[in-house]
Amino acid sequence: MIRRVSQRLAAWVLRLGVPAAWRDSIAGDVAEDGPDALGVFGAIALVSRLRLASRPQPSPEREGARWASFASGVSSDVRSALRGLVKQPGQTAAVVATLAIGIGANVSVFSLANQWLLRPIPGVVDERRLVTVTFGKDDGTSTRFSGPAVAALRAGVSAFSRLTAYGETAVHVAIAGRVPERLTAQVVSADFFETLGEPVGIGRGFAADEYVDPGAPPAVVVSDRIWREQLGASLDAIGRHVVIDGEAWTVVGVTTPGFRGASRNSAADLWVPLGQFPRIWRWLKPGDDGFEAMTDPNNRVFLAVVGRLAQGASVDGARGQVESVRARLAAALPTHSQLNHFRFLVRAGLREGIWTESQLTRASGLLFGIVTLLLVLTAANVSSLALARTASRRMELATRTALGASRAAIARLVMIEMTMLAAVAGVVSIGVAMLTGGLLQGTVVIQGLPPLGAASMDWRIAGVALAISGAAAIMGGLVPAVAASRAGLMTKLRRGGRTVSESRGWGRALMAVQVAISLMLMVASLLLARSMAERWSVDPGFDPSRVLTFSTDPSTQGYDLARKRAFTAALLERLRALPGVRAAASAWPPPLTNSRREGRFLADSAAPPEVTALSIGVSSGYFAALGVRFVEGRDFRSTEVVPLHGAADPPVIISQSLARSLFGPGSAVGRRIVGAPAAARTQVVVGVAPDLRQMTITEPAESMVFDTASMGLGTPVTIVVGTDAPASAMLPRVREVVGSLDPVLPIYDARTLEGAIGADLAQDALVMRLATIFAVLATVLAAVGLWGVLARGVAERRRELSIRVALGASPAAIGRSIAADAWRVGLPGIAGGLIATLWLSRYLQSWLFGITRFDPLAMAGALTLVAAVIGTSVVGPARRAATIDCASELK
Amino acid sequence: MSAFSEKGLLGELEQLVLLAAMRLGDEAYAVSIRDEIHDRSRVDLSRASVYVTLDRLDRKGYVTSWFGAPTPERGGKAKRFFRVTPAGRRALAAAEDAVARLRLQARPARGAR
Repeated sequence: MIRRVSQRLAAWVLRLGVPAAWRDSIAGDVAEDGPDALGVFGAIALVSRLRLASRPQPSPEREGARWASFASGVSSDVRSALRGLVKQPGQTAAVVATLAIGIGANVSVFSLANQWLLRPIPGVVDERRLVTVTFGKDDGTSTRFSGPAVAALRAGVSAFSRLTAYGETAVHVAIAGRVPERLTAQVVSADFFETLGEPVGIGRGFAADEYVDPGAPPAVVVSDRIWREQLGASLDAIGRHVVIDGEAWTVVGVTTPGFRGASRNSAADLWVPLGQFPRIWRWLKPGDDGFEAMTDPNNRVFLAVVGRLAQGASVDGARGQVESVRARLAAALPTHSQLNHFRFLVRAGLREGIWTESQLTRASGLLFGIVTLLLVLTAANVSSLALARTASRRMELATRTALGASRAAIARLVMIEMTMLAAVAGVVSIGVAMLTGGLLQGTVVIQGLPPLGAASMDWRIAGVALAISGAAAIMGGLVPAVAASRAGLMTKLRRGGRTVSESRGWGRALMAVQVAISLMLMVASLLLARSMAERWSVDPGFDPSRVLTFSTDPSTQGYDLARKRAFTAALLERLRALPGVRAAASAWPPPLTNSRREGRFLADSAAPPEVTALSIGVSSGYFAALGVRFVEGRDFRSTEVVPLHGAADPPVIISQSLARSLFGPGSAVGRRIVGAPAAARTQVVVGVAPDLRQMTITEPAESMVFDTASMGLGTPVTIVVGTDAPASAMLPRVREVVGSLDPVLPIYDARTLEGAIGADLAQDALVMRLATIFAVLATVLAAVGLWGVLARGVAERRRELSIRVALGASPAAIGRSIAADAWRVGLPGIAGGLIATLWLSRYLQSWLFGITRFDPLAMAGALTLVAAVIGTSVVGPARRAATIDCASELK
Repeated sequence: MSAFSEKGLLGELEQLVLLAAMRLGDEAYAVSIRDEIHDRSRVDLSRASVYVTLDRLDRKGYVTSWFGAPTPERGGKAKRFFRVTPAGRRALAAAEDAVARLRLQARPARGAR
């Protein structure tokens, strides 16, 4: 039974499916072979193979002809698209502008990321073969390599054909009798320039013995920037002397323009060979011979080791060898905490420190997420514009269809239009990115990194603009293309000019997408703004606008310890005498500068707990300068200045939380604290200060110990000045005072503590500002889009609305029906946007401070804003509909 | 380049079918060709492969076809007979020649090893 059915079906399949040339003969063949020869599946297989095979095979000539016809089709499409676009300059401009916003935002963010993470470093040859080794943990904490560690790597890693290391330090440089300037110098070990490639453009790098020999005449390579700005960009600069930290050095080379060190974000201006480090790091050992200090494994000077991979070596191979070197070093020095707890992190290319890089990727990542949403929104926006155009050119499309244009050809026409618009927008977007780059130029995003440079046009940016424009064209063109290809068909079938929008469903969906995205971006920007406000509202324990700090580094001008102390004392005296100055003191590390010095302390009974506390060296007057009242006890007296390892029981001031954890609720004044574990220096508590924010404004206050132990030569003199009026006005006066003591001593990091907080929050501020701009743009685009859709709806429905008015509908009812139309789009958009926000806001988590990602205020604010925008864009069209003149319309 | 560019080259199936059709002479049609290939070379071709190959050879001009008289054992349907054209013979010769040349050139290399 089954077999017979199968045979019948097979015969039927063959009869229907086999091409005429074969039909009878195959049926005959099958009959000849007997009834069981072919089942239904065999028949289907036979038919489909025969059909496939007998499709006209494209001969090369025919293929060429197809290409030619395709190309001529495209070029005629391009011409016709151009005509269409030129005929409607207003709409064309609107689409280009909208796309340029979306593409431009993406290109701008890419240009930022390019500058931070991708752009090539001038003078570096074949960076893909370079490897950066840093010393730290994956969480971003890091330390530096010592000389012996670098030597061990050089000897133990055969995967590197060359290896070098560099450290960084600030120096005072005076050129041609000018006032010294504080610049960053890199102290480089052997093979530095050779490993990187050709970073020296004029003159030479260092000779092999210069790299290591302390006795060689001091030689320096300067940056192209210094050469242009201070050495007159003359070839005679080679051989000239510059004064670094009070000593004369000979310029032997100038770097390639744009080379500022062995990573994208370094900003060094001078390179000095390691052999000369005793001249630069005079504080390494107060004596003459710093070389011992350099070779001490506990002395860590090198930020990073850079290796060039040998022929055939891989990064993974290098990683293994580097790790085994670390393991050997750690085994030899079992008490060395860093060697035993940190790793040698091996990464391909020239890289920043882990922390810096993670900050840069994190910021780029968030911004990319935001601008991608903006791009989708702009694509949806131009889609709905194009959709409207499709509706209004039904006749043209129908004519094309009637004349034989296939659906594919019509879709192609629409895609070509969109591609041309996106291409123009892409070109404009590069301009937008350059403009944004210009506006952002000079912004310091992360403390310690150089300010953003001028956005430079390179092939990466052009390529990305092209790719994003392509994506925008596809996203923006797909829906209208499909709709247009169908529109021709529909009209043909309906044989009429009725303008019932079959594309209205699509239009609504596109609109809802825009509403959803603008809501998402609005929530994000409000969450970021709320967090920013929360950060600024933190009470650090003092008034940051009335405190000014600055630093100066007398040791780099050749001061010894005694002169440095005398200078500091004189400086404080003169500052205190200034009118408007409440108090002045020295402090290291100063507040809110993110530098940490800590110790462990025990109560005098030497009983646990042992508490880790920040250790801060201050002079008397520090708390008065901050405007802080003591919880109990008193400030240091000006006579209570103690040498580092001085007499027993020097006075100490501790913070309230430390007092509580060491001594409980009772009074701490008069009690003793002991440094743990071995130092066993006993100090007497004379005062208890309130808890203050020390590291950054956003990090909770920690336990703190203040003493008057003066700093060595290695630390700069950092002054904290409390003022009566806002402190920024005092800055010029402070500079005068320093100048009156030493006219050639530069001061740096001069700012109010408010400024210091601002610098610390710069990255969050930049991200927040950009997010806000993008959110506002998104909402405006969505509003304009919605307005357009509604206005068009009213125009299309004039006749229907007139009839309703004629039949007695009140203007209010008509207006309400238009508003209902808007909300039919708006509400699903808002709902979708809310769901997406709740889901995506997890990626914002690390940017938030003091609020949760579900912060009701930000949510409610964004909802209100978006709803208000929808409401506003309804007003015009609804009014026009309500005031429709049915008499003239129905005439 | 010889007389046969890439589009003139013959696939393995095409060679088998052409050879079978040459052997069968005026008796070559789909069923007999398939049987001939099976009997001589122990290669079992599917029905569809034979049709598809014949169709392709026909379009390349390497075979011609004509219809025979309808017979009762075939349910009154005619046979479609095939004959190899001179172009088909040349193509076959060229294919064998190309393979032979390649084999000749490959041999010294193997010997040198």
